[in-house]
Amino acid sequence: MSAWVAALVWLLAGPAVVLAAGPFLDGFGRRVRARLEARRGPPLLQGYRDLAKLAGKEGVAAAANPVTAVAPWVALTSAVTAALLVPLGGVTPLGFAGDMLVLLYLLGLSSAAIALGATGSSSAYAFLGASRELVLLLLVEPVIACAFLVIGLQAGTFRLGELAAWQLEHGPTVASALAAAAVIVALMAYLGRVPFDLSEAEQELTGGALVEFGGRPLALFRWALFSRWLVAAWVVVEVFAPTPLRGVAGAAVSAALVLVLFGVLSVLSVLFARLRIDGARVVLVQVGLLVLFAIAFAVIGA
Amino acid sequence: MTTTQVAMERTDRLAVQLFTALHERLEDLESPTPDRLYATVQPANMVSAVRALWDGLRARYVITVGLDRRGEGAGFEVLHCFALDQDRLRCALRVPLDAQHPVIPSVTPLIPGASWAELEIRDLFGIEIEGHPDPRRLILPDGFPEGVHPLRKDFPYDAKPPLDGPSFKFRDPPAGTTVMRLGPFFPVLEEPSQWRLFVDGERVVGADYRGFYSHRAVEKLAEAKLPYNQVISLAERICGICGCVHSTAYCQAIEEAVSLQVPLRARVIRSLILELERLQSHLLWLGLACHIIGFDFVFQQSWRVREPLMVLAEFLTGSRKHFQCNVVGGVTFDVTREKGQRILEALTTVEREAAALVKALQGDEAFIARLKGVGVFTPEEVRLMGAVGPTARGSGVALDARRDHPYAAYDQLTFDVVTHDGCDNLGRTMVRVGEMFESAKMMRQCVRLLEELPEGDLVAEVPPELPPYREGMHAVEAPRGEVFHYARTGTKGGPDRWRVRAPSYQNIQSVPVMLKAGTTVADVPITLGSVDPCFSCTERMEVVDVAARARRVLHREEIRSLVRTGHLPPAAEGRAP
Repeated sequence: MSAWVAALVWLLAGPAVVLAAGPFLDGFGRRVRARLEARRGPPLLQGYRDLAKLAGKEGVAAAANPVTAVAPWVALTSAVTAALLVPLGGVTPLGFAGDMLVLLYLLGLSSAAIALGATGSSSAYAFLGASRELVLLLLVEPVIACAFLVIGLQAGTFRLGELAAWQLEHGPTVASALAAAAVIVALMAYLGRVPFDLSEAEQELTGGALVEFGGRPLALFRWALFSRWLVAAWVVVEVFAPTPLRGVAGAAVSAALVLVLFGVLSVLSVLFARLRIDGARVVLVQVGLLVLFAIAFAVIGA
Repeated sequence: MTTTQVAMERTDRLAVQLFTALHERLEDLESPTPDRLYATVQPANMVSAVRALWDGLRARYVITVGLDRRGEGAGFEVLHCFALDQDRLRCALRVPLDAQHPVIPSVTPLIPGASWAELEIRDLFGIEIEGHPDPRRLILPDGFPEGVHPLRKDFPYDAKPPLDGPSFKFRDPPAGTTVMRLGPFFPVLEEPSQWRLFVDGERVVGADYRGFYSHRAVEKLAEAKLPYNQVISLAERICGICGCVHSTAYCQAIEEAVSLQVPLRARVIRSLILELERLQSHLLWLGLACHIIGFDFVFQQSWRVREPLMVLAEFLTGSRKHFQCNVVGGVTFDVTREKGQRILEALTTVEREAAALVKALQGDEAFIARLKGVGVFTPEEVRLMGAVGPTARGSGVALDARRDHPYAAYDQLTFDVVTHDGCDNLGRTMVRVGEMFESAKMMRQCVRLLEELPEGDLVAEVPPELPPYREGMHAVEAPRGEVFHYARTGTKGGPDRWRVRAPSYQNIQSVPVMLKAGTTVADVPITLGSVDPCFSCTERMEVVDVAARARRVLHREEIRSLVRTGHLPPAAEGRAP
């Protein structure tokens, strides 16, 4: 199979898989939470049902301006585009030098689109939610980037596929273990899970950045969110816990690991009260320091 | 010396002190029971009398009650009710007012916590308040005409004046701030009420409040239509979480007014049910407070721990809520030895699980960080605002009607008044947490007492007609603080005046005081939640046709039609009951 065919398959299959599988994480995470809270919880497919329900409703536009109309599509397409760069079993047909940074930017753009959509409305909740979303993004993106940098420094490359290959070859180091720990906390904030769900904070902001959206635009935003969860969890699994297996077996193992990682995030999100923005800043700065240690270890080669 | 003699001595001492302060300005002094005192002063001397009580004797402000006595050949009347908790006394300043132009000077500049009570008698009785610092409309809905006052006796209870009057005006935000509305419908507010926060980014620099959106006029209904024992059902429904405190306080006020001696067994049962109510209410609150700060794990677990109590309540009273256990003079059911065993079993489970939950919470830094130092409320502010219950005790102010003004069987029980010196959301939380275990302790003592007492002695002998125009003021320590009821007997087999002061009436007024400099938007819901505000709630209306035994749930359009036209549309076809 030529590289062109592989790239074409990737181009079609990547987005399709992310769009199809993303909503499953929602039902899965909610089920995990429910069980810990002594509840029965929603069906595993609840994420799909919610999207279908929202898509069937008319979208009542709080503000008819181009920003609010475009923002949901930007959020979804950027998250889905990021999926093209995720390695699978060390294979990245569409990879290129520095694709790691591009992937982070695409995921960041998806977040920023939510904030952008919020500013299109005139709701105070939405504005405050958007500002919290951006503050968190500014705090957490460098942490995630640096965590990848730890592996990159050791491997001498910023290609996602090569990072995974290097990890497989050399096994875990002190530096990469520290970076992995940091990445789990950072992911909580990156994916907006409790205690970092500040921009949504139902009890404070009634839904925050997305408060003015309903119907299909809201479905798009939520779909974008689910896709972002899947892409981010998948790339972390591929880089920090790559499997030596290839083909279908490798994909299955990775998928299982993604579920495990998301399950861990869901468990963690049950155990904490929501942070205030100042508290979140303190926690993320501490995680940032942890990553700096990891970088130091990576530089001295431990 | 008997307790009564001690109480009479205290009343005498207070009478002497009041007389020394006021001399000839004091018109009349009555002491219908040993621990109650009613002092009459003219409006011109009212402020100096209030000063004598408030500054001189450090009395606690409770509430202001308005009365329309024009039907008896008098005018209007205002009662400023105070409590001297150390002396176990309640004292009311009676101020007779003109029938044509009732005017009374405001005491709000002296006692900020009197603000709503004064505006309430202005709105509902048309008594002019001179010198109130914020004379905006309080209780009457937007559009209610000026000059129409629903609690006046000549206003029919079912009258519907045209809604063409003025509307409430919100304050303008200070320059450089924006308005962030919490409500009228907001996720953490169980009932409509509107907080307008003036925010600068995340910082809150001020707040304005509009409430009473669902004022249901229960007092008017009771005064106009209901006989004494039917008011109990209504009182029970003032609150959806702790209704029993209202029916108990009402019964106690009537019992005091007409000097009924309730049998000890009935009083023990009242204490038992009231503590059961407190225990479930505090567990409910703990869950909600945690939900407010996004800690849904504790929210769900705390409600799970609470569930055996609800099952127990249903077993004892026939209902998970609205226990309907009181009548004037006693209680409606007995708690037998077998039921006592069931109570002890349920308590063992609940105490064990609650202790595990509390232990986990006490070590949770993230949880404590959200509460500590937030919503600061000093002891002096507690006094100024008249705050009660855990809201006061969380600031180290040991107020507790169970100890200070014993009722039901609390004089027979040993318990601690839990306080905390935090003066913040954490303090208020820890007080409630401690009280849960005190409640369980008291319930055990009640069960033991009931085992010793002969079964069946449940109601005092009540005369077929109660003497008219007798007054009683009594309180119950509800989960949220002191519930105070003033009742005056009437001539038509029901109360002539009934004033309910729920603890939230004072505690909600205290919330703006707690929003101190440095408060952020994220702190507001939990600070509001920390006083456990009780906006008694009706989320939908349900009509039960007793004759047809059919139940019909009203839908939006039907409710709208009911509200607008006053009668129900016929049931829509194909809509199952």
